Order: sequence, then structure tokens, then C-alpha cells
Amino acid sequence: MKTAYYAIGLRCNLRCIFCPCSEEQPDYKYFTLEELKDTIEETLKVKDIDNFLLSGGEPTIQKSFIPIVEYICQEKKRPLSLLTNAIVFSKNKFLERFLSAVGNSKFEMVTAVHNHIPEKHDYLTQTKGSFEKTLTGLKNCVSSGINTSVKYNIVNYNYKDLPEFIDFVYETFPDEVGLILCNIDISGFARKNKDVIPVSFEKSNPYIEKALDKVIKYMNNGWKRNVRIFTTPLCTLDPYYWYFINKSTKDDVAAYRSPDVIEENSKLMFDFPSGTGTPFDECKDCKVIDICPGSWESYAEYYGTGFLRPVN
Amino acid sequence: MKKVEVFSKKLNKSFTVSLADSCKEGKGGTTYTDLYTGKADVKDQSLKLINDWDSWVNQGWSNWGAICV
Ligand code: SF4
Repeated sequence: MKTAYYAIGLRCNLRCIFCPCSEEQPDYKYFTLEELKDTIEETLKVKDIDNFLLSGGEPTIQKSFIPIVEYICQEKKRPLSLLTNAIVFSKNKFLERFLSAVGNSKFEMVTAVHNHIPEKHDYLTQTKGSFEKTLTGLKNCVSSGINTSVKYNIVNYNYKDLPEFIDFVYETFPDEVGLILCNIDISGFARKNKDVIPVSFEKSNPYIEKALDKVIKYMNNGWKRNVRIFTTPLCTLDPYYWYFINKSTKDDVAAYRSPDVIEENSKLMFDFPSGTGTPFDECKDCKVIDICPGSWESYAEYYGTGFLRPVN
Repeated sequence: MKKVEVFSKKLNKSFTVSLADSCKEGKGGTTYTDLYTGKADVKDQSLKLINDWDSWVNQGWSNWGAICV
């Protein structure tokens, strides 16, 4: 699966604590519609792309959003994925315009919900009322038949709430809505919020395992929800739970472009390194390296590599 | 197909995980679903782990995809 990943503009309607786009910027960078079309053409000349992924900032509030969706779906006839906080979809008119831009193309979206307790979600987004708006947007999308997935970014502030969050998802969304549990990049920006963001596998994984025990119970009661864990090394979880670990996606980003104040960094890049994987010495002789997603390299920089337990 | 013996603290026993590239390769045998429902005693069997989850993009969420049964 080869993906072209474009961050179309850095402005956002939230200010998530762990997002580098939340840093105050006098001038939020974005690509114009023409720039994006050129980027797509250039990408397709070099790579066979299976699907396009749009992100931001918040992609849906960029001027070029609806026309570029139309271009990808109607003219290029490619599947589209969207990383969005879904807030704009709480407005039915916008959702209608969006759906007509997608047409019959394959489409899916991933939306982060940081907690089932509204105040805790709003704390992480630094935006009062965002939980309600995101939830309304998500529910609108689900009712319109959009393939939707909820993403829980596991951080120090919310890892203990994960088992209860599982019940919230099963009680709130139908089976078709997927669930992604995701460890996040501990980049320079996230490190500024030391008390809130970084959490070690040692601390968070017992809660992931409790959460998965709940998922297994739901499965055994006939639920078929797709639940996946991203960027969690196999050796940090009991093999009983490996079923849920998503295989490495390190080779998947075939093309990448994001606006940046530094011109050089705004260029279209191919085979962009994802910053995740198993590049550690300890992994070399590990028998499951072929299927292991590994971790964020930034995690190992922050915590060291003592968490690795090669399987041999 | 590569086989790896692993120890599960949760089950307090070892089992073998088969690492396959495709669902076809992994067809048959014990699956993780069997493990979770307790339908199979995994003690002496190979568990097929096929976790190439293409389905996260556009394959449809009702498709379990990752494990062959
Ligand atoms: S040692 Fe490396 S390859 Fe092996 S399970 Fe851990 S992270 Fe994965």
C-alpha cells in the first residue's frame, strides 16, 4: 500500500498540547490549490500511488480542502484518507458539500478522541467544547456511511483511562467504526510538556492489556470492531495480545509534503522516513523483526533502548 | 513460514506463532480468535499471526482481515 501524504495547511481549530502545529505562528503556512495539484502530478510521475492521505493542521478548514478532495476523488479516481478532528462535519451543510466532492470514491477518515471524559479531551485539545463538537461531527459521518476510525493517542495524561474508553467506544459507535490505539512521537515539542505527554511502555502497556481484555470480551459477545495498536513493539506486550498490533507501516509513505517556514523543508519528498521502526542493534537478531512495527525512534532517544526484549 | 516459540505470562504457557505473509498461507490451524474464545487449546498448536492490515485503508471495517480462519 503506497500512500502520498500531504499536510495541506498548518492552521487548526484546536490547540492540542502534543501537536507542533499548536505553537503560535504569526503566519500559518499552507499550500494553494494550484500547488497541491502540481504536487499530485509530480508525485504520480514518480510513484505508483495507491491512495492519498490529507492532514494538516486541520485539513478541513483550509481553503483548498473541498476542491482538492474533488480533484483526488473525481479526476484522479484514487482512494482518499483524511486525518481530521471532524469538527466541521458537525455542520450538515459542510458534510453534504464534502460528500459530493468525494462522490463514489473510496474514502476513510481517522479522528482522535483523547478521552471519554469531555473535560479531559478538552484539556488535551486546549479548546473548551471540542469534545462535543468532534463527537457530533463523527456521528454525522458515521450516519452518512463514511468509513470512520477513532484514534486514541496514548499519553501520560490519559493512559489509565484506556480501559474505560473502550466501553465508551463500544457504547457510542457501531461496529463499523474502527479503533486505533496509538503511541505518539515524543518530538522536541512533546517533550516540552513532560508531565502530560511522554509515557513509558512499562507504565502504559498494563492498561493497554486491560483494555484489550475488554475488547476480547466484546469480540466474544459477537462484536466485530477492528481494533489496532500502532507503534508498539511486539516485545513490550504479552504475545497473547499480538493479534492487535499493526504491522510496520514504515515503507508506506511513498511521498510526503508539508508546508514549512523554511522553503527547503516544504519540498515534495519521496520515501520519507516515518521516524518509526526497528533500527536498534537489539532488534537485529530478533525473530519477529519482519512483522514488528517497532517504536518511535524518538521514544528510544528519550527512554533509551532498555525496553527492548528481542525474541530469540 | 517462519515459526517462533513465545511465552505468554497471561496464559502461563508457551505457544508457537507462525509468521505468514498472506492470508492464503495462513489458512487453517488455530487462530487468535480460537485463543480468545478458549475454543482451542493452543499448547501444541501453531497460532497463525497474519497481521498485514491492509484494511485500515478502505477495505471495510467489518473485515477482520488480519487473521485467517
Ligand atoms: S526487539 Fe525489536 S524487532 Fe524484536 S520485538 Fe522488540 S522492537 Fe520488535
